[in-house]
Amino acid sequence: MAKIEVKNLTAQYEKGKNVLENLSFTVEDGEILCLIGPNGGGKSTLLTLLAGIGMGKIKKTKNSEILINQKKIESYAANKKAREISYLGQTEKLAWHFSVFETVLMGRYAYSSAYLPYSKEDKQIALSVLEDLGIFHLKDRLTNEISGGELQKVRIARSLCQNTDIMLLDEPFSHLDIQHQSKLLSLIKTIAEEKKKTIVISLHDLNLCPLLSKTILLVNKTEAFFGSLEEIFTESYLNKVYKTDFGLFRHPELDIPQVFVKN
Amino acid sequence: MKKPQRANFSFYLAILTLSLIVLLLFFLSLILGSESISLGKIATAFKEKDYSSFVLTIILKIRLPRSILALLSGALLAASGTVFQGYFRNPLADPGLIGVSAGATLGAVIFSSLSLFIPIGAFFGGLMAASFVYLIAGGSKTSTDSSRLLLSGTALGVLFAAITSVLLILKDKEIYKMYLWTQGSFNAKGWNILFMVLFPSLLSFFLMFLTTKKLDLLSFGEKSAETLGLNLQGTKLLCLTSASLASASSVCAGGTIGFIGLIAPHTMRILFGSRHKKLLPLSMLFGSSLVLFSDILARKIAPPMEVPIGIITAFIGVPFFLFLLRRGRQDG
Repeated sequence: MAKIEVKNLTAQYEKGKNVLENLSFTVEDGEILCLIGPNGGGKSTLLTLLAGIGMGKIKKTKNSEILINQKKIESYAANKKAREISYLGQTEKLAWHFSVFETVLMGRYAYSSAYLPYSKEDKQIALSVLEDLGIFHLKDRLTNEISGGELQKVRIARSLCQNTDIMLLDEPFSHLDIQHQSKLLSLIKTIAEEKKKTIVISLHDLNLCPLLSKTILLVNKTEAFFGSLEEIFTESYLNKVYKTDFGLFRHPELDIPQVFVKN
Repeated sequence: MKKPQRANFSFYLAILTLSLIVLLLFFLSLILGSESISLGKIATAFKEKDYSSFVLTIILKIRLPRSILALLSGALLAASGTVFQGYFRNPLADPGLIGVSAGATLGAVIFSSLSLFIPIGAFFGGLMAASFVYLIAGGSKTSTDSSRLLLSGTALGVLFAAITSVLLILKDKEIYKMYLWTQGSFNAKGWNILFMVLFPSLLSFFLMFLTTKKLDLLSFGEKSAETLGLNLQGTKLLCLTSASLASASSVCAGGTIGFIGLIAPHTMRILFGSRHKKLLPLSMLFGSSLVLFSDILARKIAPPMEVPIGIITAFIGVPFFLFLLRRGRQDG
């Protein structure tokens, strides 16, 4: 079943200047879709649109459609949407700092009353997510007292608390060193497999893409290519979109395609 | 590391301690003044049940409403500061500094010159100012930008104050009364003023307590808050309306008193963390004690003259403000 369906999506920040043009693709239930493309090519914009947020600034054209569970995204109320879709932006500028536990607990907002305290059940869920991600020991620390890698995990924990079928991740590996990158990578794979999540993830590092997913959306402003890893992750498409001379080889152990820059 | 149980314990202890301080200051505010009245005199007067006596007239007709107004106004200022700071995600968002108090004063003066109900004018003036600030400095990307918030707030504040002055000059008969009022003072504020502001104040407290969970979410930024399920439009309406109503009520209760909305939430945040459901009541109690204390000083510095309370809060507040500005937004 198609979890996310995008039909003829055209979006613009200013009138007449399309950031995305006539984009159509589907993401099946339990599938991971990798979003790649040059900087400023519209990856983040697309994720924001899929999350149905920031609508004051970006406009979709009239015949554009984004369906979540076959229902128009606009038809979801804020808290209903937060139970279907979680979104992790690239960065977050925290105005004030809460404890790790308090931060993760706020992932339960959509399930709790907007005016009453979080329930015992919500607190249990937050604690068990902290345990799952191996950051239980951090629960009483403030978010400005932990490392960048730990904070990223806390944010993922907050998303997991939302208990959504769909997770949207905008370059979750940026600002992380290689050790944290690989830990986070296996974490995302585990989440996808064990919890059967539908994930759309944008990536900077092209070589992470074959490690995660079999479906790719290559997007650069008004041009976009959607298909399987074998179809899209090729020199011709990548060279065309990135305007770079790429070479491709098979990874000797994992038997997946990897890219390198020729000159 | 703070254990949650311990954090809760320290919260309740702080509430208790601050409540006792407020009570003590309230009591002192009743007996101290240009004419200090000893406890013995008060006790005797009550025993004799002579309500027209000098002592009881001062206590019941002058100092009691005045003290309640000071207490109320401190809580209003601190609470509106807490909500504005949370909403604009900026520790410098004080109703005075972002022009809301000036807007409320203008609204009040306009309504007063038209012989309409003053608090309603103050409310619309405050709400209008808050909306302007939101339009100029709001939005997810810029709302933590201090310079934009402060510059627009200050500019609007000056503009509102200028229009207020023009109106006061045109209405020269009432000018002195209104002038005193805009300066911030509890002098000669009686039961009538208290009854006028009591209902809007209580309503604003109720509404502000509804914002606490939302303000927590907003600390992650509008985008993240929205993905967690926050209705941004509704939150904006609730936060700006409730905090403007509180600022307006405080302007009606005691005129423009600066910096309480800045100092109280910030100090409490440093001491007890950022969760708004704790921050709001703590700030209110701290704000009440600050205003009660300043009002006592205002009476005692140069009796029988009274110093406008805004001058005293400025002496406490300006160094604090500069300290915050210097520390920038690196702090939590």
